Amino acid sequence: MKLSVEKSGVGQALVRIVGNLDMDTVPEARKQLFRLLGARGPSSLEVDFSSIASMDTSAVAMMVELLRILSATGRRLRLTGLREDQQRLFSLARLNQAFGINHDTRESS
Amino acid sequence: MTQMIQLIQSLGARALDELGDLGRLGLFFHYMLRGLFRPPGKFLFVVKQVWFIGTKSLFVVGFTGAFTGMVLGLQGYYTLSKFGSEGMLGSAVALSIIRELGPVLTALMVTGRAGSAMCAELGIMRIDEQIDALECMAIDPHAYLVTPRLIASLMALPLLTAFFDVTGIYSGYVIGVQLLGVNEGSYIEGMYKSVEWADVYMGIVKSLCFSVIMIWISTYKGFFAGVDEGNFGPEQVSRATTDAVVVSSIGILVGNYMVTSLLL
Amino acid sequence: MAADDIIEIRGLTSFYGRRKVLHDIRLGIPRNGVTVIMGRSGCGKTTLLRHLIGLKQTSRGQLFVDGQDFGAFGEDALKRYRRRIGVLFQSGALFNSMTLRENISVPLGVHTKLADETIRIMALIKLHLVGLSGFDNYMPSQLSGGMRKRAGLARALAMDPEILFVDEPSSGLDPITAAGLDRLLVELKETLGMTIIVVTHELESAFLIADQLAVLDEGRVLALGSPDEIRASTDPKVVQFLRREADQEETDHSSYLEGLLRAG
Repeated sequence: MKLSVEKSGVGQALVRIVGNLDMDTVPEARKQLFRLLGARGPSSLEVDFSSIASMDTSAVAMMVELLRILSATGRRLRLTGLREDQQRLFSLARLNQAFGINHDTRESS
Repeated sequence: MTQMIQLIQSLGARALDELGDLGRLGLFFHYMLRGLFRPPGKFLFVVKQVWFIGTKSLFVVGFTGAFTGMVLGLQGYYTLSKFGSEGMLGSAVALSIIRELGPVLTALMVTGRAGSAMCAELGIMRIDEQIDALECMAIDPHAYLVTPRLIASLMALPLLTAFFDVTGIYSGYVIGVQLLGVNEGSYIEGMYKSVEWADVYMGIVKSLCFSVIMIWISTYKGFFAGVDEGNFGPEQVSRATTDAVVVSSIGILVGNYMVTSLLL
Repeated sequence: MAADDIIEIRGLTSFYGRRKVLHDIRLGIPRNGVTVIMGRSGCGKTTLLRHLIGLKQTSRGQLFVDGQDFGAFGEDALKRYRRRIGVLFQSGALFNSMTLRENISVPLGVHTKLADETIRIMALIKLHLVGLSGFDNYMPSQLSGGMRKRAGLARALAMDPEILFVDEPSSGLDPITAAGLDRLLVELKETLGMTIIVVTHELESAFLIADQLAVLDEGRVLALGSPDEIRASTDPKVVQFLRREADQEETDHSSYLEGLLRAG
C-alpha cells in the first residue's frame, strides 16, 4: 500500500492510495494521513480510490474518522474514483449519503 | 459367561475413558502454560482476576485466619501447659500457621470461593457455545481464559496466605497473652527464635503450588462441562462446580504432603 | 461437485462414540452462493456444520477447502482458515461480561493492529447492519434472544469473512425480524460475494435465500439441488418434509393399552 499526496490548488490536497486498503494496511495509511492533516493541514481533502485494488470495512471506518475530523474543523472530504464494488461497500454500511456518493456518478459531491 | 465378558468390556471401557480424561487433563496443563507465551495478552484482565481471586477473598481469609489463630492459641496453651511450656505458645502458633495452616487453609477457602466461581463461569461459557466461538475466531481459549487466571492466582494466593499468617498469629497472641495470661515477651521472643526463613519459604512454595492446582483443576472442570455427556445444561455446570471444589481440595491436601516431605 | 466449489465434502462419516451420525456425505459448497442445509432435528446437520468449522475432527472421509485437504491442516493452516470465516452460533454465543461493541471488537483486537477508534467505528457499522444501532453499550443480558442473535451475527461479520456459517438463524426470532435477517444474508452474498452456509429447519427462509439446498435425513443426503429441483422432488421423505406432514402413526396400540391397564 502506497500513499501519495499532491497539492492541487490552494490548501487542497489530493491523496492517491495504491494497493490494498484493508485491515493489514489501514493502520499505516491512517498514520500517514494523520501526519498530513497535522501541522498545516489542507482546507479540503480528496481521496482517490481508483488505484485501490481491494478494500474492506476498515477502509470505510478510516474514511468515517477522516470525515469526522475534517467536518469538525469545517473542512471538506471528497471520495473520488470509486468503482462499483467499492461503492457497494459504502452502501452496505449505509454511508452513501454521509459521503455524498451516488450511483450514477463515480464521484462524491 | 457373557456376563463376565460384559463386565470385562465395561471395565475396560471405563479404564480407557479415565485414561483419556487424564490425558486431556495433562494436555490442558500444557495449553495453560503455553498460553504464557502467546497472544492475546490482556494485562487488564489479569488485574481484574487478581481483584476477583485476591481482593474479594480478603474477608473470608482474614476471618478464617483469625479463628484459626484463636483456636491454636487455646489448644496450644492447653497442650503446652501439660508440659509446663506455655511460654512456647508464640513459637507453636507461628510455626503451625506459617508452615501448614496458612497456605493450606487459605488455598482451601479460596478454592471454595473463587475456584468454584471460575468453574461456573467457564462452564456457562461452554454450554452457551462461547468457547466454541473463541476457537472459531482463531483465539486460543486457554490463552484467553485460563492463563490470565493462573498468573493472577500466582500473585494473589501467596499474598492472601501472608495475610492469613499475620491475622492468625495476631489472634493467637490475643487469646494466649491477653486472655490466657501467657507472657507477652515469651510469645514474641519465641516467635523470633523459632521461625526461620526456610519456614516462610515453605509457606510461599506451598501457596504457589496450590495456586497451580486450584486453577488447573477448577478451570478444567468448567471448560469441559457437559462435553463428555454431549448434554449442555445447568445441571452439567453445577456438577462440574462441585467436582472442581472437591478435586481441587483433594489435590491441595495431597500436594501439601508431597511438598512438605520434599522440603523437609 | 462443481469446479467452483469453495468447500468440498467427500465421503464424510462421523461418529459420536459408537453412534454413526453422518453416513458418507458428499456435498459441494459453491463459492459466492447461499447453501442451505436442512432436515429434521437429529438428522446430523449440526454435526456437519461443526465439521465444516473445524470443531469436530474428520475420522472418515475428506473435507477440501479451496482444493486443500482440511484434515491435513496444521495449527497455522487452521488458524488462517478461521480468520476467513465467521460463525453465528444458535444462541449468539456473546461474551457475557462485555458490551456489544466490546464483543464485536474481540477478533479485531486480537488479529489486527487497527487503532481503537477504527475498531470502534467498524463495530458500530456492523451493529447498524444488523439493526442494533444505539445498543453498542448494552450488555448481552439486557437484550432479548433475538437481539442477542443479531449481535452475534454482527460479531461473526467483524472480520469481513469470506465464508459465513449460520446455525439456525430463525430460531427464536419473530417472523419480521427473521425476514430482515434473510434479507441481510442475501444482501451480503450479493454485495460482498460472501459464501454463506445456513443450517436450518425453517422451510420458508430456506427456499427464499438458498441457491443450493441440501436435505439431510438420518445422517444421509436425501436430496441436493436448487430450490426448484428440491420442490419438484418425488422422493416421499422429501415430500413429507416439505409438506410438513406429521409422521404416520405407527404406535402399537395393544402394548399401550396393556401398559395402562396393567395393575401397577
